[in-house]
Amino acid sequence: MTPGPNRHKTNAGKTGEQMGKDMKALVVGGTGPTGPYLVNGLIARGYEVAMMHRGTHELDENPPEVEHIHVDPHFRETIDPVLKGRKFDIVIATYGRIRVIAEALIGLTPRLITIGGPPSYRGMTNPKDNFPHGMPIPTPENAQRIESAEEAYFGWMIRQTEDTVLGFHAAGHYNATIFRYPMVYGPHAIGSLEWLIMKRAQDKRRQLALADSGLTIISRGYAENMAHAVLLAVDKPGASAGKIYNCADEQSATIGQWAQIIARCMDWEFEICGIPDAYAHTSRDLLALDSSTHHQLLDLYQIRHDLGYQDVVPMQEAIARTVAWTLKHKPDNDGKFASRADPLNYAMEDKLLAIYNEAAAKMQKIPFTRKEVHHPYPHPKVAGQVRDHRNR
Amino acid sequence: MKALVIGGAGPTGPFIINGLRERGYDVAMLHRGAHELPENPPEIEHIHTDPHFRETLDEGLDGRKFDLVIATYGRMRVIADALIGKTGRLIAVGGAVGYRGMMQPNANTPSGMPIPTREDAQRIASREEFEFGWLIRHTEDVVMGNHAAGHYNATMFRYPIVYGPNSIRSLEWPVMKRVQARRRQIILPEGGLAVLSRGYAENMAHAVLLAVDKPEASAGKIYNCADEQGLTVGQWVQMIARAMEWEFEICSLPGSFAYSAADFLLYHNSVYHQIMDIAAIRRDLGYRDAVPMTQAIPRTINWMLEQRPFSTPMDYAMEDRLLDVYNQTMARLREIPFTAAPVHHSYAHPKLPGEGLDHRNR
Repeated sequence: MTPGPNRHKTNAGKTGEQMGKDMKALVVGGTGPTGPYLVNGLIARGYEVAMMHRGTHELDENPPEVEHIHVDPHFRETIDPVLKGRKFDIVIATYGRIRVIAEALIGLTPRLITIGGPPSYRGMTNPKDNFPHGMPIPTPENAQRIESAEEAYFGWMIRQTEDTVLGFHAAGHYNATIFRYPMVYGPHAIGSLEWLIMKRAQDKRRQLALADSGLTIISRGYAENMAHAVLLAVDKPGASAGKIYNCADEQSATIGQWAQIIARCMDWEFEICGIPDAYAHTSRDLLALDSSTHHQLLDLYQIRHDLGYQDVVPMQEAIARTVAWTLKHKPDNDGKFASRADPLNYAMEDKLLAIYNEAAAKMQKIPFTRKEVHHPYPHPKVAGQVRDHRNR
Repeated sequence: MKALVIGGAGPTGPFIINGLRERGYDVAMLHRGAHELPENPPEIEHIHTDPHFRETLDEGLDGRKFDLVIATYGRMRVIADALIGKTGRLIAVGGAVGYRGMMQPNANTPSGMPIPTREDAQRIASREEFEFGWLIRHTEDVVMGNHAAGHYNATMFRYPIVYGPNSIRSLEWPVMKRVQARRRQIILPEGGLAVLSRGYAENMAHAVLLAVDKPEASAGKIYNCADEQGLTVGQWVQMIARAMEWEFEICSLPGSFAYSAADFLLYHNSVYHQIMDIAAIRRDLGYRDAVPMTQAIPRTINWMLEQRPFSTPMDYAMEDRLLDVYNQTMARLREIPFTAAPVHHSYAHPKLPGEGLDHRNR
């Protein structure tokens, strides 16, 4: 399909009629990992759904009766002509330039749900801007955000977008809700990080070099779970009005645990070798955007409390499904790793592991006897003694 | 209104006792009497008896009735039974050791505790699995069984690592000693990335007192509690250092070799996270920190320096041997040439209208 405006409308109004009114929804994007779950979730709720996206690729999971508006959602000049005269009961904007979309939608919808991300938090891309370094553990929605373009340009853009959307909410243009997507994984995720681990398991690599043993916690969200979170805001417009929500799987994993789970899905087990962060070169792709080992654990209190969020698919099951899908569909990973001649970089990993093994051998020779550890409070074993058996 | 605090000479004791008095309770303290705290007002009654045994408890509590009992010390499963008929309300303090995976990380798959750990996470299932954890779990079952049987309204708290004035074993001091010795490098297991839930004594007492205020909302519940903001071991070490105007270079060693860090870590070398989910206590009881962690740590450090000087000599020989290996290894790692690949957001975002693909050909 060629990009550019290209409407083809089909009759998908049956479910809408069952609801007693003809409700129209627009999904901006819709061909990413959460797209089909959102589109089908809206259809299940009785909406007649249109998708607005560039049209550079399509997904089989989106039903054929969905209207496609093929246009680039990054610019007013491309968006305005195709939306002229259109009205939607709800718009879910997951892709494009959201601050532009938010403005373009004024007067066209009473309800806007937009997707952003956590880079607006101070400390996500520049961990040393916080003390202690890194993001608060966990990070609640009201944590400090980026204050200026100089501080972190990308984060500032995300923050400005949040302010724009909620500004329009406050001005009464529509009821808006924003979600901060974490690292989204699952079928159709762009640049499968799982593949970096899966390939190592397939190649029967026993030792896996991870920055600080992969202790870094990164909030991730399985696509179906994240779409479920967004759809809860569709169902609860009152409770979610004007709010920003973190979202992620309820249970998080460290990078090491995540690698263990992936390996187990492939009947493999790694020996995880901790390399100091500064030199863990082969770990960089496994970390989030900023490539540091600081934790990125999002606080889910708000979405659980306001919207009753619970995972549809628990994390371990979701990873297993992702691995199975990746094995079956063999994505070429040309999105994230196209610029790399050798994204696996075993040669580098082997150098790091050689140094790790040498250091471990040296430390093994240092004699050490662990002290016996007791609970710090005295707990007498026999009645009538003033002091316990450890004389406390 | 009469309240009994069992224990009361630990770090949260005075905050609980004074909090009860502010709420109008006439407070008695039942404890061994092995030590006292000046923070507890002189007018409270002391029942000096050992709260580990039925015979000593029955002796101390003979003929007494209380509107409320907060049990923080002793053998809780014995206390829980001894209090039947003596109170309508019991708040008992336990710990997180009843969770499977806390002390034996490999009992879970993946290894370690769920992140974060909720109150309904899997607990130790048998004595054979792990005795200490089983006893803690069994105690929870006894207290909640007595609640279910209608003997009293019970609420339990799982205390994390409690810090602050009067904490019984200062994990801060071995770090503070390193600052005083002007040691620049400090060895931490895996860069000190492990997050361990801690609770400032005043905050944890506040959590318990919320259950005093909300007996209905907290009826029959077990709550995790901890400071709202968690800390990695590395962040905690840097917070202590900053409170003493110092900064460490954190030296990352594999957990199995970071022996010297055992000075200031509990139980094992902390390469697994212990992050308590505190959503339930926030939702049911409206819990928020009384003192944010960023203030609680400097307060603790200042109190330790002024009130509890630590004279035990330190031995850094082991840490120095390990640092030798670390520094040699870092020199080797530094020799490897490496240029990081540029990182882009993985979605296509065109810069100009009308282009089919973006500037990275996506």
